[in-house]
Amino acid sequence: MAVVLRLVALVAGLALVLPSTAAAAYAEVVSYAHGYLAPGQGFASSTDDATYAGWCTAIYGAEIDKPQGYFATAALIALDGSWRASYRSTVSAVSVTVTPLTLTGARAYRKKAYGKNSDPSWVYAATAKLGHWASSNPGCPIPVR
Amino acid sequence: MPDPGSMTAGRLRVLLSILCAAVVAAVAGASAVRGEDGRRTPSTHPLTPALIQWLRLDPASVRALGAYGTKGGARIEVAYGRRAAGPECLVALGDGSAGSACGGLYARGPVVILERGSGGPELEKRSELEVIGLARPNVARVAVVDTTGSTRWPALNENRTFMVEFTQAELQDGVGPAELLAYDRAGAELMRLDLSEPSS
Repeated sequence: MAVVLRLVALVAGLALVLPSTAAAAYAEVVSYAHGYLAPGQGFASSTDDATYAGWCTAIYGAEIDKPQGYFATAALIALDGSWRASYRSTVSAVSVTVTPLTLTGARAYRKKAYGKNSDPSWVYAATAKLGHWASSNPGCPIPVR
Repeated sequence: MPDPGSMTAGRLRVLLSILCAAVVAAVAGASAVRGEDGRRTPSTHPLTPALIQWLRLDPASVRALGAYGTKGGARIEVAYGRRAAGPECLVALGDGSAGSACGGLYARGPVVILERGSGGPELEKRSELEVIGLARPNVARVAVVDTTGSTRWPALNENRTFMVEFTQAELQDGVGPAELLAYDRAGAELMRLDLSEPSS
């Protein structure tokens, strides 16, 4: 009976510990840039091509948030200023990321959330976000290759 | 008469078996939802667990909508997902990048578009450009007019997605998307969206 009770306690303890460990594995750090877009005007966040000391930390993508209906572009920008990839939509949040999500890929490009107002008459505000995934060693949850 | 001692041991064995099975199922279920082992969740959509987490999508909401090959040999996959906070997302994935458009998908009309490109930013320096769209059920046909005035009529697939590709040769000649139009079954225009980029 005592053995059974110890087993039950062990299993119950395990069940309590597992979710909290997994939940603590990620930390998302987001930097923002805010601005206004006049008709035809472009807007960009400060680019970030930093490499981070923690080998489990990387920037994986950029997102721009704006009012619904206006075009905005999120772009992955190489160090020479050329664009590697870009996505554009009128939906309120547009994002781009390099795939697969690896440190090598993440460090190869600057990430710029780039908006351009295609409305001829309206000025609107936009927010550009750069998302960093951060995790302490050991146990990086995003596969690192 | 059954031995009361052995009956108690039998009940305990049954209780322990049920408890262990429940714990194993709970742990396995949580692991599958989180995707923490790096494997894809058991579905046919193209998004990895890490990408789903980056895009802040509810894993249970993600589903594949279509896949398209480009003339350059890339495979572009289109998916749908919903963020936990509610916004719907159209996601495109392929050729080393993924992009999403999240929010009220049909605020500008019955077709949402997500345009993806490689290279640039100038149109002439892009190596490819695709206009990807998802249409509501009342849309029978869509058209993309390019900057020369030519009209392209992409097919809507079974999930009501479409893709129009502009090749590198076209882009180098300055040919890109100019306008999107959507029509109902009677041929009435439902939507007209300017796709041209404003000059800087």
